[in-house]
Amino acid sequence: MPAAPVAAYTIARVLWRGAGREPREELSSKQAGLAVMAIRVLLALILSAALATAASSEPSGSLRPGSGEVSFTAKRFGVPTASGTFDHVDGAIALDFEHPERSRIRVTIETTSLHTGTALVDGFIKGESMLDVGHYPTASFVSEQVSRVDARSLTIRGRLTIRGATQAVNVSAIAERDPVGLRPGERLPFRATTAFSRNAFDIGRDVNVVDDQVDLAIRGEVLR
Amino acid sequence: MRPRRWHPLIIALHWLTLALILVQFGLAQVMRDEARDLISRFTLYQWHKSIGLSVAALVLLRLALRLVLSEPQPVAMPPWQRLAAAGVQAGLYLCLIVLPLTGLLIVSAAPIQIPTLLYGWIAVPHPIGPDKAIYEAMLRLHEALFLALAVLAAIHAGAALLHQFVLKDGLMRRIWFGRGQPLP
Repeated sequence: MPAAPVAAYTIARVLWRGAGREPREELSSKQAGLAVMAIRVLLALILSAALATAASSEPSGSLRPGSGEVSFTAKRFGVPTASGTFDHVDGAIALDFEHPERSRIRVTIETTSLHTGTALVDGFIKGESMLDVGHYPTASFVSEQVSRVDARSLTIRGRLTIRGATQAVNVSAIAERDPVGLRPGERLPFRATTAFSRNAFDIGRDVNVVDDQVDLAIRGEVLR
Repeated sequence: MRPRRWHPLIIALHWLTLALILVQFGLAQVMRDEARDLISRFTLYQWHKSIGLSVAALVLLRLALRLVLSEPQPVAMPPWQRLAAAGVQAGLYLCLIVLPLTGLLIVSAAPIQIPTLLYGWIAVPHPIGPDKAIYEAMLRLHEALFLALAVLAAIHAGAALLHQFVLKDGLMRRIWFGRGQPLP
């Protein structure tokens, strides 16, 4: 990059003059502006180099757009009676299997993207008594602590927000391929499961067609 | 001179209503099976709501037709029996109109908010919003009215069978299709 030698040369000249080696020649405003710009370019170069080093030791990634999917299953007396899928799911995922505690996961689910197979059930779940998607168009999950179970499995403790209420949940995640040696641009498919209580989020109070516990299954691909 | 039978339209509506009530009773048993998947339960509920409101509409149509079509010749019977028969029939009519209305109030006041789509086509507006007290009261009333309907229907059918097989006065032929002489 030619900017680096130019910047170095300009800074050297400014320092040379500033030190009084050429006392009769005043620093013009044009030259001063050039110097400030040069310092900025240098700082930017140093910063980006530092960032590049950090990125190589702490793998980060995002949920590949269109790959994320959150499905729910509700039961009645233990028998699955309702299920559906949210297919608009976004996420920023920084996974570090060597240092799981450094991992950060944030997922946003568009509650309006639910489909269960019939408009009647969609309308019921999106309705005011349940998810109330008119007022709460998104649900989210933010990790708080990530710990490793084995080579491909993680336990993620985090906070789930639905209908404006936030509760702690534990998520079990399994990578579908070996996460070690994943190169930029490669995909890491995963599956995850968790469960929550409808009452804790005030979803369908008095609605007794399904049990209180709702199971969630999450799948997607992390893009390095 | 009065006809010997009810008008065919009235006869058709009478038996159609009976058939629909039997279907409603069957649906009510199946749709409440909580182990059934929600999509099929919701579909069954929509059928129950559609048929219930249709029954009310058909009964109102029948009452309107009774105003314009002439009634058949009365069969000779003691006045108290005539009065009892009329009372039971009035009770049946009332049940068949009020039962669907309590049903509509149940789904309107229910904590579960599901639209009422007649046969999947016509959206029926819910007159009130969610209200637990009304919901529970209407649920009880719906069941009590069904019980009343069942008792009245049993008396109605029992009396008809009594006329048919014991008194043998040909009363039941008045509510069945045909051109022959219904009276002996």
